[in-house]
Amino acid sequence: MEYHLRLAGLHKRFGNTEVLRGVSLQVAKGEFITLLGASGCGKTTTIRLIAGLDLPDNGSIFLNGEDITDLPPEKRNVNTVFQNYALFPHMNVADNISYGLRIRKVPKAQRDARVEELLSLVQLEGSGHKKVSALSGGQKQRVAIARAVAASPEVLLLDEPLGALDLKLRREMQLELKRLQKTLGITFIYITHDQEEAINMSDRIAVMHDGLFEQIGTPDEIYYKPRTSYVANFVGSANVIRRNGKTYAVRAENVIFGDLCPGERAQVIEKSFAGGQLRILFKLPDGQMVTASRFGLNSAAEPGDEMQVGWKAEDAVEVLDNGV
Amino acid sequence: MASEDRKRAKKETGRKGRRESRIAFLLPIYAFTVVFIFLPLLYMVYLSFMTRAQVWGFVSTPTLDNYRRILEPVYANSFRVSLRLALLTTVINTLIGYPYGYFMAKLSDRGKKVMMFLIMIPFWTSGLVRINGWIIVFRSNGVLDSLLMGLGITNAPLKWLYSYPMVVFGMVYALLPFMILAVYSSVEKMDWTLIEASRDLGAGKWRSFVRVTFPLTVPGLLSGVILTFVPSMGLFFIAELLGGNKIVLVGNVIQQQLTKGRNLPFAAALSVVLMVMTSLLIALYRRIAPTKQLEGLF
Ligand SMILES: Nc1ncnc2c1ncn2[C@@H]1O[C@H](COP(=O)(O)OP(=O)(O)OP(=O)(O)O)[C@@H](O)[C@H]1O
Ligand SMILES: [Mg+2]
Repeated sequence: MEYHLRLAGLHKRFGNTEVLRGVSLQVAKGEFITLLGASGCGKTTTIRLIAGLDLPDNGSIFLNGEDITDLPPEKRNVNTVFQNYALFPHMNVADNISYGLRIRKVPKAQRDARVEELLSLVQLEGSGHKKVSALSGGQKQRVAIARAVAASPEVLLLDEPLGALDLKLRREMQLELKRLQKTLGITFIYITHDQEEAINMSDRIAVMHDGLFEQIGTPDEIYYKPRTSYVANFVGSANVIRRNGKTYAVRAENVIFGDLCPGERAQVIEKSFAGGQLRILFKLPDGQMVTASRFGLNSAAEPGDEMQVGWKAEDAVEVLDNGV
Repeated sequence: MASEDRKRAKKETGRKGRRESRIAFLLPIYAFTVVFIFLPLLYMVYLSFMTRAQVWGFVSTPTLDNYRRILEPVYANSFRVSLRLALLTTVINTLIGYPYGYFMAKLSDRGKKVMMFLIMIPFWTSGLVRINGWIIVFRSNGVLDSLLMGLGITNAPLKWLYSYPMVVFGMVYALLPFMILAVYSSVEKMDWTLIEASRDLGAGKWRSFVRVTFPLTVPGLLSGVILTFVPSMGLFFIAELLGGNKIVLVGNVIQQQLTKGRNLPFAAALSVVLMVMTSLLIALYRRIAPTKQLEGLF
């Protein structure tokens, strides 16, 4: 079967640094794929290659089986929601949204109808005449999305579209975007460095590290079966434990502790509260650190205490060690 | 209650004190403007309604003769010629200056610095000297003629100097840097991700330029137009040196009236009309121009 979008061994270098070192990915039609990775790992570079805004040094990009690697951006049926929105400041909201339609010489009546439809889709009814500079961050972001989907692209690339929004608005927009994607049936390639966002929204996540995809899989797979120590640590900040020449990932919520539990004697180093969870940092006899998490504020462990720390054998997932 | 009143009173005197100190700062600026710009202008307007004296200066007999005289064909014509030359100069400046400034803004940082330096060099010498340099190049049997004849392209000196195209050349040469720099500064400020967005949405390079880059750099272009149009109404020495006495601009008439004619009031009247005309043109232009914010001007 031919995939909707296929990246095959993309390489890209800027000066002396190889930013992409062989990126490959197969995306099915209508799929929501998230590129997840730390800052500078090459996420933006990857989608710029898909959009045609940069050309790869090596490798190919296929859309519907057709090689589009060298096509200019205007010849690709792929649109982008830019990291900083890139709305045209000299046009109002409606003109921004209908830009792609005007370029395609769609008749005015049809264009206007489409703009109305899109404005209501992104819940900005009646804002068509507004100046772009008069919009809030969240509104700009919606306009950018409406503009990018106006001409019904096959693939929508979104570069951290919610990055500039506050937490509450972020949550709302996550749901809205997901709803939008279902309604439109467009393939989404979505960038974020927020693992919760990735897990909430994606059909599949591609965890990117240092110019390569370390693991591509469903949120469940990424979360419960991390392939490498980097993925384990980056997604859900699992503990990476090295033992007898092997490396294991143990999620913080699976670490058990107390005077009676099986395991080894460890010292409580630190206690902190974050994201509704209490996190307790232990130091094992061999010097490795382990974090345990619990819901709620109360726990018998205090810094300086010593107690037993362990985990069930099935909660320790063996991973490839890439030093993280 | 009472203490609050006192506090408020104190705050108000504090504010007043600040306002006073600001006026103290602005006073020299106002004074300068009044003494060196406003009063001379007023004096010029006053002068334009006076009668010329027999030898030099004027007598305080109010008259409208100076303005009436401007309507005589010789003088009215000089306005027409000036306007036409200024328009032509501005059009050519725009056609050369816009692409020039645009591509200059797209150079590497090093390239920009070099170009900026090259454009600024001419400003280090007097305009008069530079025009005389061109005369050496263009005069009969001058540098250009020798070159062309030496190469066997022509076999007799060409009469470049003292022609209308020569004057246009001189004007464009003198004013082009202003247009280039005005365009350059606005293209330099362009956010190029907007062009990427435009291409991404399906517009080719040229259409992206027409629909995005150009509209966003129009303010710079308009400033350039004003910066070249206004001075080109008054650059009389170029017309005199490169055009001989064939092309008579308002500036030339004013200069002649001041020197040979010794008619101060008439020169003043000509200046007033020129000024009013330029101001009206700018006002009209600002009204029809598609943007309110002219780069760094007004
Ligand atoms: N045009 C360029 N010239 C030189 N280096 C570049 C260029 N674009 C990107 N880079 C470098 O390539 C690396 C990857 O950049 P990229 O923008 O793809 O990262 P990213 O994963 O999107 O990061 P972020 O989450 O911060 O946006 C970075 O180290 C960056 O400095
Ligand atoms: Mg990025």
